[in-house]
Amino acid sequence: MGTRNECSTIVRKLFAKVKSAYDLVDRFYKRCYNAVFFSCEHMSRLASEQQDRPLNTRERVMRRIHLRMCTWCRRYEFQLEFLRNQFKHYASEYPNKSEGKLPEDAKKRIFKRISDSSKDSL
Amino acid sequence: MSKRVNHDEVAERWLSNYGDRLYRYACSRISDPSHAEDLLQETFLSALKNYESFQEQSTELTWLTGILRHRILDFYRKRSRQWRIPDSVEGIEGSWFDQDGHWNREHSDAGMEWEPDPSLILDRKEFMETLHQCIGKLPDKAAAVFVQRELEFQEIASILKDLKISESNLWVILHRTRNMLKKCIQNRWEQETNVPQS
Repeated sequence: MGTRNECSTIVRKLFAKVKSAYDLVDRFYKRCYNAVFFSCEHMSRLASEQQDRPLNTRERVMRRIHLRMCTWCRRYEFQLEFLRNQFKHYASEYPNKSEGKLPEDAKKRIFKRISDSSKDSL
Repeated sequence: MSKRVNHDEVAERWLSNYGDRLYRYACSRISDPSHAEDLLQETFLSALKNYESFQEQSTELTWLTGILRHRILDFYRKRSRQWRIPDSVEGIEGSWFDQDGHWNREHSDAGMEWEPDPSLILDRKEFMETLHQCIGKLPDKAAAVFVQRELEFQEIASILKDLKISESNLWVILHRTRNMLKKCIQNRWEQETNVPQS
């Protein structure tokens, strides 16, 4: 029993070592990657900014490369694009299609204010 | 010679014909209904004052909407004077990324799985209502920038001048505002569409 326990601790420790080595390599890879390419965080900012300003050449090239490799950023751009279209639609259609009504008391109040002011100006 | 108009008559006609439509326009851009009512009143007052300048080429509704639109932009311009200058809109996207700037896949908050189908959503009243509620929850500064940029399509240069913020600050606010709306809409919309559609 004792040896088996020892064995399993050794194996566990070994795994932990492999895992931490993997993490190290992974971190190193990401660092290198970030030194050359734009990070996803950077890309998410660009995805928003390109709706408001033209990107410069470096940004355009980097965006192309990044989007080709990264599903998540592609989807994020798609989401923002979708939302922008919805905002546009909302801006013109909400006043036509929603059900809000100017409350009656507000109507009366506004009317009174207008007719008072026209009397003042006479 | 100025046309002689009976203000009461005109006001009554406007209120009954365009009151609701203009009110909804104001509400779509301003979350507090009492502010919306005030702006509507100002719009009518200034419209009556300038009634002579109204050209028959445009419809009255278009003309009134134009005035209301300017009032709304002005409302946000005045509000921006109360802002403390250096502070920005607080972002929610901090935890969306890991320390290397990659999407944090364990964090579902970023809504990376969300793939809305525009053809299913377009023109659906419920979606517009969701959007309306989410816009209403935006913090002051975000709302000002959002309305000017996304709903009134103002040029960047004029927003910078109106709200007196720096360009880099504007990019940050816009990005954060879009993220806030994205999260809000996603949460609410998913709740609604969990019920199978008929």
